[in-house]
Amino acid sequence: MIFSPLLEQLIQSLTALPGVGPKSAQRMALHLLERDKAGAMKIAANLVSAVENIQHCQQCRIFSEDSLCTICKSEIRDRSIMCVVENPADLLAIEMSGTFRGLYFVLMGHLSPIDGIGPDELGLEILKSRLATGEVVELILATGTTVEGEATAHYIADLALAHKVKASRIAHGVPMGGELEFVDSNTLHLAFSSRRTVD
Amino acid sequence: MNTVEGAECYVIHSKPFRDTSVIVEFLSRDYGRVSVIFKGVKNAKGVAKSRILQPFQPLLVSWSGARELKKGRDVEQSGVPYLLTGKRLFSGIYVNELLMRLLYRDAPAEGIIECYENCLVSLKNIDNVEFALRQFEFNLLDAVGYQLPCDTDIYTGEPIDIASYYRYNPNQGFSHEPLLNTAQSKQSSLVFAGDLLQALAIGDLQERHLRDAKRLMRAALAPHIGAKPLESKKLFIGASRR
Repeated sequence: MIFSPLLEQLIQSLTALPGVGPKSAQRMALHLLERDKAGAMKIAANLVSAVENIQHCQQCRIFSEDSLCTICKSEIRDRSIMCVVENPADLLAIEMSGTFRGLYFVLMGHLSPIDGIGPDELGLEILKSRLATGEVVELILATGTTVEGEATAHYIADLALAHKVKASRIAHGVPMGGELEFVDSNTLHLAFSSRRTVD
Repeated sequence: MNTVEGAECYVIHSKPFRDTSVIVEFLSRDYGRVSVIFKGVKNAKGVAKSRILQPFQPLLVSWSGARELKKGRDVEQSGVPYLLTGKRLFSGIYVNELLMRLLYRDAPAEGIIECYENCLVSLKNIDNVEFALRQFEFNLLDAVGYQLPCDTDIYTGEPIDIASYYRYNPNQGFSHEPLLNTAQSKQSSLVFAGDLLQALAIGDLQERHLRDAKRLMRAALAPHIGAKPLESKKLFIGASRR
């Protein structure tokens, strides 16, 4: 052991972060101790209070320290339309685009039976109870375009139909600024099959 | 170093590894089940690769390595994917889960990819997915060496008579069961009509066989899939619409 036990422990725990191996963890630990002790204290305090206080929003399952997140609490958002996404990162991407003013439901994953992730693990009971209230008129399925994402979308579409809620799937197609010759054949296939009339 | 170029494969499962890599389980024509790690396919540069590493897509895969986990070198499409939707998609996922449970790495793989492809074709074309699934389960058991001897009585050695009833003895085969009527066969979960056994053996399942075929295949698969129930069955609950 080259470093003191405490430092060794710190380096070890920093490797829990994504993309951080032993080498970067060591650099981070040394930087914090040598040059930025105040910053280190701030990280530690924020980390503790975040882990202790942040839970899932009761309505949409995104992270929130209150029982309802800011989107679900907001009074200017359209409550009749709901968008289902796989991850908080997907939600942020949609928010950044500024096109959607409804509510969200975050699955925190997708159906993946081989990994043991079935309908129960995705909080679909909460979604069902939301659909049962009759407030939601349209459900937009914005899960990924992988096989698992498709399966998840179909499963939820069935749920929506059982509650007489309209379900729609986001379109798949050619990306903006993309040239056709570089688009893969499966995407082109989908883009052609879901083409629309120019008006 | 063992290098394989352009092996015909299907993805049966993939899971992310570290930040940008993915470990893929393939069903290949010549090498059976193979685990391959593809490094760096989840960043902007490798996204084209990770996009085609999807189930139900015929692929040509190159890998190298002598250990159990091979290193992926290249992957390209070798045909149009089977675009399954709704219940057909759930069935495809079930078939993949079954393969994950029943196939072992480095085990002989003859005939498995053929019955997988046949199954995908029928999933795509037939209205009732049950036909495709039952026939696949039967053919898969046959291909991995646990075949159901549907043509002879294991004790007497006589051919199966379509008018009689037979008891299924797990891991052995079928023996004649002196039953009088269909009601009795319903009571005993391991007794099946000779008519069904013959239909399975010659690949000619009819609507009337489906219920009992499901019961039989469930019993026949049970010893091989392990104690954990198949997770993909849950998908079908609530998927009765399509």
